[in-house]
Amino acid sequence: MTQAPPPQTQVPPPQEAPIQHGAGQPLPWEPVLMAAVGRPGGHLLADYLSRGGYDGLRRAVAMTPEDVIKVVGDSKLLGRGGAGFPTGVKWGGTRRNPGPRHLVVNADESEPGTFGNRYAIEADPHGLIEGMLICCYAVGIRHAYIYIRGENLAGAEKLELAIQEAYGAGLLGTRILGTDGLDVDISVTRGAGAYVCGEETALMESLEGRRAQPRIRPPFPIEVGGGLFGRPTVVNNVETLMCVPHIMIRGAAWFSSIGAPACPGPKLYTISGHVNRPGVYELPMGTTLFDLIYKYAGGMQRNQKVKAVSPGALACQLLPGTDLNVQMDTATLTRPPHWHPPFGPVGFGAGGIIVYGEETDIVQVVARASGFFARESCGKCVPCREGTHWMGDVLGRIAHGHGRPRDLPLLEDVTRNIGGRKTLCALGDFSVNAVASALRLFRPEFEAYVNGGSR
Amino acid sequence: MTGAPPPATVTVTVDGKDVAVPPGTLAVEAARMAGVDVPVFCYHPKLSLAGACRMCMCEIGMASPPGQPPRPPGLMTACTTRVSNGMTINTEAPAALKAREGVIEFLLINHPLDCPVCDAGGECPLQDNSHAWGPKEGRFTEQKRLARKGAALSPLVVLDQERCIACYRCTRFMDEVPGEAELAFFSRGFASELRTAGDAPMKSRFQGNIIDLCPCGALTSETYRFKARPQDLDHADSVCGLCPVGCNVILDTRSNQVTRVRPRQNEAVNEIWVCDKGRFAHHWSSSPNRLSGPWVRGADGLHPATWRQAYQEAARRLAAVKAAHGGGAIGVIGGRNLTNEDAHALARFAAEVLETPHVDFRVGAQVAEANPLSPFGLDAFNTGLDAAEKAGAILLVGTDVHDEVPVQWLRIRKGVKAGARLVVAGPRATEADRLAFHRLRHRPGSELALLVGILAALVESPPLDADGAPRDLSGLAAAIGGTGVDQAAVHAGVDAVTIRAAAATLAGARDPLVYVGARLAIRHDAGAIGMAVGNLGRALGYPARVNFLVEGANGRGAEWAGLVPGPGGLPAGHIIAKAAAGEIKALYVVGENLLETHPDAAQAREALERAEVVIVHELFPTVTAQGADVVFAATGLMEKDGTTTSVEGRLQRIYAAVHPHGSDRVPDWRILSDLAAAMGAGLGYSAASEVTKDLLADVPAYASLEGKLPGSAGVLVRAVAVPAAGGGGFLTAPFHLPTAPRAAAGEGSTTTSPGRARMPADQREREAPPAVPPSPAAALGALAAGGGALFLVASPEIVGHETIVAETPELLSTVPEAYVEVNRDDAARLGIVAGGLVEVRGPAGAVTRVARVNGRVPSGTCFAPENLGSPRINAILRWSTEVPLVTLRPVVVEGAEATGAAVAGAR
Ligand SMILES: Cc1cc2nc3c(=O)[nH]c(=O)nc-3n(C[C@H](O)[C@H](O)[C@H](O)COP(=O)(O)O)c2cc1C
Ligand code: SF4
Ligand code: SF4
Ligand code: SF4
Ligand code: FES
Repeated sequence: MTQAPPPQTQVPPPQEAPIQHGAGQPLPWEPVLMAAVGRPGGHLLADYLSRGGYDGLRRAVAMTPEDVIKVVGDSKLLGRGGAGFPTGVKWGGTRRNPGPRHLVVNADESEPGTFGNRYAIEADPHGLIEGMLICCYAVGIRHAYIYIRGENLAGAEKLELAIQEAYGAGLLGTRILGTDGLDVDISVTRGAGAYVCGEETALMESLEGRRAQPRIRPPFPIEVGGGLFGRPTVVNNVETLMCVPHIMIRGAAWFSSIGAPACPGPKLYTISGHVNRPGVYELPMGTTLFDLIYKYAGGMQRNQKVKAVSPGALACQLLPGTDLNVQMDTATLTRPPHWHPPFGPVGFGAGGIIVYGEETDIVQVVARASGFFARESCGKCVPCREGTHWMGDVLGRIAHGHGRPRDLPLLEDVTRNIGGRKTLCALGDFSVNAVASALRLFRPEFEAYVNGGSR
Repeated sequence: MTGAPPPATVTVTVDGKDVAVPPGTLAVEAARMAGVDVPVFCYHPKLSLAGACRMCMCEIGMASPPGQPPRPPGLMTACTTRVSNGMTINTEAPAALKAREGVIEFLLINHPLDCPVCDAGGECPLQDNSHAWGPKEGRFTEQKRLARKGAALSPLVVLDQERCIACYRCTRFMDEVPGEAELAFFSRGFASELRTAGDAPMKSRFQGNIIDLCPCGALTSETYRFKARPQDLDHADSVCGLCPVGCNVILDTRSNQVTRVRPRQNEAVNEIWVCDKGRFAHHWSSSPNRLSGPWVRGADGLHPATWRQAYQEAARRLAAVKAAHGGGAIGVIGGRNLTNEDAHALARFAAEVLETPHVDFRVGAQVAEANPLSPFGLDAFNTGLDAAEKAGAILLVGTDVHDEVPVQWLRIRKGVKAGARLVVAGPRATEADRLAFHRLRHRPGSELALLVGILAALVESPPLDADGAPRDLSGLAAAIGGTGVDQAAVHAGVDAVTIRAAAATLAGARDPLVYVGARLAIRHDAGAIGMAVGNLGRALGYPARVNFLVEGANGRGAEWAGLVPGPGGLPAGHIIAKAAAGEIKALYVVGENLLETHPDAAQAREALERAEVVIVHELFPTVTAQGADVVFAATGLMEKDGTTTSVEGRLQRIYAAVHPHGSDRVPDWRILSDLAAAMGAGLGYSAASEVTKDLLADVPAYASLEGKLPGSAGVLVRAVAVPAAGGGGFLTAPFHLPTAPRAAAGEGSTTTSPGRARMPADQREREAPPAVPPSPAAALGALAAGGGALFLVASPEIVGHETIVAETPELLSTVPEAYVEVNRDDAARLGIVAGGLVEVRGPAGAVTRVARVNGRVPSGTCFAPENLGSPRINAILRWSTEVPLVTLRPVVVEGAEATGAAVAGAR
């Protein structure tokens, strides 16, 4: 195995790093999504207004709703929640379906290795509210809901405070900014601790007061019968919506010129694992893995080599440490050569990057990941409910030194019986990605385990 | 968008074979239409889609738009994918087979595989699909999941969590069909566990259906568990004999005993459901408590006799009464739970042998005419049961449909879910109120006033005709004597605004439907109510969408077979009253425990005691049978061949599941034929089929069948030709409303029932029951002085303490203690606490009941179920045209708090 040797000089000593949120190197631009970070009181309305807050909404209401959707479409903004669906298309599709319509903000963010939404909400709740208001104006929505991960109490409190401020300033409620027909109410719902609640249809079930289990599609959320309370619904990620005010202010061309042409814009990368400076980095979409690790995240701990990377937290396939020049964006990681049948794309997910150093025991990583999905499977569909648990048991056994050679072909076959779009929601596919790719990339490590116990 | 209508069919290719199916068909159904069975677990055509089991995966390809390259087919669940034109469905593509094998393997890794001791073994979709699609051998070597086994979800349904494959059929059924969300999965993923809310026993009366729906042995029936294997069972197609819906059932027997009852699909009747009464209450058939042969009264009371002795004794006694007083001194009561053959034989026996016109199956009836809609040229029931599914609005008057026609309630729910607006009129809250669009909470007994109010509201703002013009209802205005909405509203005790709103809902609905409770068809004002209902149908423009329910599994069949008063004949209530007064000398009672079902127990007892001769056909030695001179041991519906006719008028065949050994029990038609022979008359029947032949030939309703019996789905017949829509003017109802309303009980005045509509004097004379004591209100005047008198509403619960139920202890254990339901304001005023014991005192005595305190009855009214408790509530009532008044008083138990637990004898 060859490893692209990171030049030693590119790793700045930790103490010399500029005091910017978790960053190793100065960012290549003035942050947009994280502008409020580090500003005392940055989450308050007054600060937000002083930064030009709600100007995006002002610009939007000066246009027709259709034009707002067109601008968002032209910006080529892709959803940041994981599926990478074009936001303009989602909004336009919802608007074409009859009202009442709803907006649901997906702030459930529960996957190990992702925490960008949390930073953004706590730092700049008004940025989210403004994005929501623009969406409501464009799509024709009266009621908007924020579904926030239950553990993120601080975020929920910041949001409640910001919502109160917004009502007080006439930015929520009726005739917002004096605009006829722009009436929006926002409510915040805290989840009760399940990863699957981030899956948009399970999230809506939970919002409606039911057990969080995904729904069948079609009908899709944007359609009658498929959305919240059966109404056409836009479900967007926090980060997706927070991009929108900036698109309104600076224009679609500005946005689409940033980073990867196919999926442009600023991106909140969250990096964790064996890097010196784990954290949230706002960078252009399409930044290479190499830059992320060595330029911004302070390089690897104890200068070890990169063994593997989970590009989109645990849900995606592993990238080998040899692949550091890859651009981290939805378009790149969902197309060949990053496509491995039968499981499909490596995937980029929500951009939660976990970096594993050369000392990492991949078998243990995969056993942990598998245990996570076994615990988090909602249990609605058979392959995921039974299969994740089976994989978890087998991998747990292997990791404890009780593996058998025949476990490896078994595991491979089980991953094939779960993955490849056989399950009701994507969690099933997520659950096999790490396992299947690790078996492909690091087979000798597994063999060492099953042939003679742990190394 | 184009204006072109969507195509009537789309063409899809299933495993290489083209089929044309309606657009929107699910792929799994399209495959079925092409003759290919895609295996499923979670999919069920009667339930919402779940997409949970992933068993039905097929390789499905969509046609690509013209000019574009073909899209590769992919794995999709056939149960959630709707077809589009040009779709290819490959049910056995290698990828699909692999996925399916994977699903089976996944299902089995944690399955206990206790097939050898599992009830479902031999009729288990999981077993069958594993054989057909599963892997040859298992690869699972980890620890299997351990979970609850033999856990009672209720006294009737048992869960084995280890066997559950989490297909959500049971939870979806409970949520969607009866709408009783008592069952849910708790915990997540692998740990998912089926539990009841609060781990309390399920209460639904439809819960047995989840046993049928369960695709494995996870849900089993407490009464059938470990009783048989499918291959041990014999089967007989039959019809449930416990209410007039006439649900189609299969009776499974082992060693000549019914071991279980399963629904038999009939989309026109019960679809695939039965209620728990119909499913579980079958143990009576094999009960050792059954009468095993006839009894004859001697000097020392009743003693077993031979059939010959019994026939001779009955013949001698009946002949003596006939000789001394004529046939008109004999009253014949009963027949609502028999076959049509029995009913026909009984009608002939009464007319030809006893020569009496006093025949009636309608226990307690106060009017002779059995069909309140006959003036309109209508049957009492004029639509199919399935009409409820497509109605725009449904009006319920005087019926708790959930308890009176249980499975039809499911159909009504289906209609409401499809958009029907439900208008529920009643003196207390019922299950139907949960789905009601309008609730009309009227004073007890004031149904007529309420209906007149609705008619008056229609006169005020008539429905629009097809051309948009208001319909001319001047004839209706005259028919109701110019009564105004406000006047009727005050009288019914319902807000006029609500009446107007309800009327507007009915007027604006397409295909509205009216159901009126069976009791209103036999009450003193049935004629007037029939007039109002018939006029309502005509006013709405749907004259033949009005329906009266009927009591008894074969009430409609009995009505048509002629078990109703002949010319000059008395209705059943009057027969009893006259017998109690000594004017009717002999009573011939068929399958009717009058002491519990006649509304006045004391009067029924008096009648049985004073009558010189009492002959009874019975299954059990009931209290009524014990007062008889001759008791014939009859067979029940599960033991008979023949036909029954359901509430809607559907003639259905039944086949005996249990064959009476020897001659100890005999079908009623044969008893009648043999007794007739002993009396020298002879009906001449020796086989049920002979009676059927006569029945079809003699009963006008069946003339259209030309002597041919229907197939397994039965046939809907009509006794009267249904007139064309819109035909006919309005008929003047024989009623008027008093000008001033009476005060409600509990508000000082207790002079009379405020709800009772007055009939013209002549009518009242004709209809007034003889030998009815002075108004119970007056009799209670003294009691009421303290302000404690309440109107009593009584009706049977779906499952009560009837003998037939009591033979199934598991079902009996779900029956509540006899209770009285009191409004919380009245309870506070009277010092009654929820769960405490209450003395309920009526005109004829007092009983003790457990208090239910809530808001389901309005202040001034209380409710007591008729079929609970010993004695029944009829022990304190007098048969009367007035709504009974009762007083309630808390019972203080010496040295203890009066709680429900203290009642030992409530059943
Ligand atoms: C198991 C699972 C978990 C998910 N969790 C999240 C989440 O926490 N946050 C999120 O925004 N999207 C999550 N998604 C993706 C959502 O279903 C959905 O695609 C997204 O919210 C759409 O927003 P976007 O268009 O703005 O990306 C998850 C999907 C799956 C299958
Ligand atoms: S894939 Fe897993 S999480 Fe998604 S519906 Fe199926 S069981 Fe639930
Ligand atoms: S108990 Fe039976 S019907 Fe209910 S979910 Fe389990 S397998 Fe399905
Ligand atoms: S609804 Fe009536 S006919 Fe049907 S099963 Fe129940 S009791 Fe029997
Ligand atoms: S039958 Fe299609 S998913 Fe269960």
